[in-house]
Amino acid sequence: MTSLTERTPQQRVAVAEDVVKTYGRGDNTVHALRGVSAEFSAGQFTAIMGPSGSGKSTFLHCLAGLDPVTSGSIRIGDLELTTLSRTELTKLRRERMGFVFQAFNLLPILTAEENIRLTGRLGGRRADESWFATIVDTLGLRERLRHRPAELSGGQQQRVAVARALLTRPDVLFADEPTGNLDSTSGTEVLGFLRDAVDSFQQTVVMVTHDPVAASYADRVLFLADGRIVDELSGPTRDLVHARMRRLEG
Amino acid sequence: MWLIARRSFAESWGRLLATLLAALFSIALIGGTVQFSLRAEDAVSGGDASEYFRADVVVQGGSVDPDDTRALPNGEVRLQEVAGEPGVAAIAGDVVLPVIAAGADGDTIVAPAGARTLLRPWVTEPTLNPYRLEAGRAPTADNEVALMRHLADAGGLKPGDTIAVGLPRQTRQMTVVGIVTVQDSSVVAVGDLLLAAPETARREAGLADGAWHSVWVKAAPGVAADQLRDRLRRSLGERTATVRTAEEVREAQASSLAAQGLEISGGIGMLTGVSVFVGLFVVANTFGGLIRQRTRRLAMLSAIGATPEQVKALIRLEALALGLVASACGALLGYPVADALIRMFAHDGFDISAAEAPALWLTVPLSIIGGVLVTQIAVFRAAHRAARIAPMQALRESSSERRERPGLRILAGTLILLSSFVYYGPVPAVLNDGPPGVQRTQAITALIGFGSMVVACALAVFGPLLVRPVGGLIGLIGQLLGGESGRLARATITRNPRRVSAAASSLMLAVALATTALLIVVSANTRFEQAANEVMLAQHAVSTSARTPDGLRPLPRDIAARIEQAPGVTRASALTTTTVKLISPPPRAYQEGEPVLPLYLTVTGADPATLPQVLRLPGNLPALAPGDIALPSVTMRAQQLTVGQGIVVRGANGDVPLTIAGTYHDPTHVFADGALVADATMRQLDSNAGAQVVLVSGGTAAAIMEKVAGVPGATVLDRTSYVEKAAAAITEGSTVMYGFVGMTLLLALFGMTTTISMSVSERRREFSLLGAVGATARQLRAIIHWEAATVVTLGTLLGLGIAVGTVALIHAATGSSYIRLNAPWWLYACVAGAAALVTLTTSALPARRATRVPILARARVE
Repeated sequence: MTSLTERTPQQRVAVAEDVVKTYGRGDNTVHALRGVSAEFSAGQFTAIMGPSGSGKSTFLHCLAGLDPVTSGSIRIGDLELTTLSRTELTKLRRERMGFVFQAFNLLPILTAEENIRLTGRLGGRRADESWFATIVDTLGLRERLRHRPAELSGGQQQRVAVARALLTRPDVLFADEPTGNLDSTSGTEVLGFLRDAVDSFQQTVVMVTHDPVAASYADRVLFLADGRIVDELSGPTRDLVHARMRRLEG
Repeated sequence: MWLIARRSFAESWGRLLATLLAALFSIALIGGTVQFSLRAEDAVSGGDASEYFRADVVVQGGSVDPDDTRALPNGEVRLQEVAGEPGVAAIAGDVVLPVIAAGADGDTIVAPAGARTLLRPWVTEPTLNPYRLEAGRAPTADNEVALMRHLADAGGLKPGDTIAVGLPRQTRQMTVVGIVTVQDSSVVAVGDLLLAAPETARREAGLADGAWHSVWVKAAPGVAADQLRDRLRRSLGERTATVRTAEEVREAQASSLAAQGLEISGGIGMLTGVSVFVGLFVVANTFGGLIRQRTRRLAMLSAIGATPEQVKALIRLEALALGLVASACGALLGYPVADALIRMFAHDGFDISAAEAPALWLTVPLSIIGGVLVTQIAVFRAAHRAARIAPMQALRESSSERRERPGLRILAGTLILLSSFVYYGPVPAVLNDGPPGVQRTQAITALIGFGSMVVACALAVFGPLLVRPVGGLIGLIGQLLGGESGRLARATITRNPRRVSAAASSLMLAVALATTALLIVVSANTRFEQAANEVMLAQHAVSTSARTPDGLRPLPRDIAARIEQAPGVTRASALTTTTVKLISPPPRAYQEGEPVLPLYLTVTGADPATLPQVLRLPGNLPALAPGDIALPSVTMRAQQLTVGQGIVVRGANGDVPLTIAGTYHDPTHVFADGALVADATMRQLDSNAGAQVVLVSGGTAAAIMEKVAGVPGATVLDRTSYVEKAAAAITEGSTVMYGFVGMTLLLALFGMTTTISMSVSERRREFSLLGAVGATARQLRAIIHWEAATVVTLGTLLGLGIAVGTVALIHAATGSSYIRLNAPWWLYACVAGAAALVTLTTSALPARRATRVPILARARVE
């Protein structure tokens, strides 16, 4: 795996080309993505935005190999996702991707520490203890490692999920509405951590959000409408994002 | 993965409790069966201790049936005929007399491993005496006996105690003077022995002075046993005596016992198969439910990097944890199960309690291996399904099932359905290969039963396809009666067919098992009652409560005279029984090309003058004169015999020529199923034949009981009870079968309870959503109850269908008048009512719990 420090900002971590995703058949066919193409460079924080039903979450799921595409191509590094088997895809996700979901998705039966180490353990790899310590301290989880998810606040649970995603030093971290279930203080904390991961560790982050404030933490914003990328914004601010969104929503 | 499996198991063990119990019971049954088989093996091989171990040659009077190693000699040998032969160093006379012995508590002592209890003479010749006195002394006076250790232990007897000995002619109170063993064993191959003074034994057997059933011979130094055998054969002649070396007799006994042990283990193994099948079904169903409950969690694991193999391993590890816990407990529970089996078999006349309990190091690993195998096989499909859960399911809110391709399900179900012909297929062959009778009916019943289990599996696979129409209909009724909650129930039922089907298939199994057993019991009882009233004219029957491998234990013949003295009794007629072998004409094969099997007939002896007053046997049955025999029409047809034809049978007293005087049919199969002769003929066939039953006209049960109080095991029964009991005694292993059905039903109920309670618990998230949008607890409970109604309807209909189909098939195949569909309608209604009650009770508690959880707390549930 390419180490984070070796990456250059120009290196393309993920590439989507003409991705089409449809659900259902005949009259019930839903066109979620209608030929989406995008590139994601190493050390870049990209937000994906769009109105409800625009296909932003579907695009993220396809990009992460969670949902198969109907046609088109998705590459993570030099690997073509659409040709991989289920097991190969799983191993790819385990080794080169990290995930943060809106619903935290922690295992309630494991402690915070066990949840953080879970992805590495599934791959049979020992965690880099200094990197583990760095993440845990950065995210302020040191005192909560022995607690189970039910004993943590929503913000703490999402921080555990971020730590889990970062521990394997993934090529790209996918976040699906990571602040959707959090209050504004916790949400701000989590977004701060993601930004910090990009700035300090050159982590690539792709995040779906509907919140202009969250999007303003990104380096660029891709706007989707009706299954297509319709706009892109570099160096976003809350107001700029808000304005674009208002325009999209008519 | 082990950590997750361990924690998942620890977290959900409450939900898994019933599964654990079901697995535990299955494993206990495996463990118990293994132990029983080992003990039966020990009882059988332990019984190869032989009273002939000091003898070199055994000379038995008359001819000894080579087809029956437990057959008693049917002639006499005079001691003097053997004593003077060259090469003979010492001799001892022997008598073998079947008796009934009652212990200190008055209960009959059952000999181990299907053997007999025999009165024999103490061997006074030291070089031939195999009996080692463990306590007391040898019997010398007329009323003294020494007992083998098993008899003493089982009956709680010690030297100085009195033992009631039921002899063929009378019951005697004898004094126990010694306890003996043979080759350190408590029993010998032929069973339990009571050793009386030689003259006492000879006199009780009705032998003349100097005559014995057999003579044991010790060869002179330098004379080989086979040399002496050949010499004695030549001098005595093969017609008057059977001469064998003692080693030949021992080998024949051992091989016969081993074959019997194997047969019993095979039968037990088959019944265990049914229990293990139900255990597998239950564990598989519960794990299927667990996978549904954990879909999101497993999908999340898959999303963050768990490969399908790892997800499979997770489920298998959890099953391993379950299997290990269940096995450890099940292995220990196997001991009481084995004890229960031993008691049930002893009740059916096969007692192995004298055998050593097998060592823990042997049974525990075997049970654990069995348990782990059962759970791993059971979770095979669940693990496969878990591995197929897409990571996207972690991100979906809806809990409804994914639509699946019905074609695949139809194909799988059809293949399983077709595989049932592995069992149904051989039924016509069994019908053609064997003569009609209890054994053939049992074999066909077992085959059809196994076939029906496979059909049950197929229906479980088809289940989700049936849920839509049945659930749709029930839901429609619910919608009409219950408004919105009925509509919601209809939607949840039809959109989650697998969940509803899982609960219904557990119920189906329980209903099928219970109904099949009930239908057979009701049908048999009705027939017994009908047949008893048709055939038995006497009001009461006196018989023993104990059984032997051949049926109910015989009573002493003097009992009829005693009963006749009871006030009000007008007639007491004893029916004696013995077994004879058809010698001439030689028996025919059942079908051309089939091997010719020896034909044994259970002959009933009765007083021809009183018989028409106590029994009414349909057919052409004249009053039987001495030398006459009447045979059932089925035997006449099979052997192509005609009335008036002469036959020769070999009884306990040798070959006897008889004339067939008539034919008849005994619909009860218990009074004279094999053949009928007059008392005088019976004395020719077997002078020691015991009375199987005394049929009594007039008098009251209490008055009759008073007269038979001193006879070991004697009880007074009315018509139906006697016929049922006697029939059960000839139907081997009926108690064991009921025991297994009971245990299996318990297993199925455990499974059903778990599946239904899980199907309610797994929807707490769904209920939270409904609660959040305004559904009241009452409405939520209504949804659960309508769903339960679908489970009851589907499970009961399928279960009743399997039961009715199975019984109808058995009747069609065997033509047995005892197994037919004649149960009253209310029986089906009762089964359906019980199924509804159990289902509603099972779902009520989790429904209450699920609807009482606060909305926010429920929303947090995974």
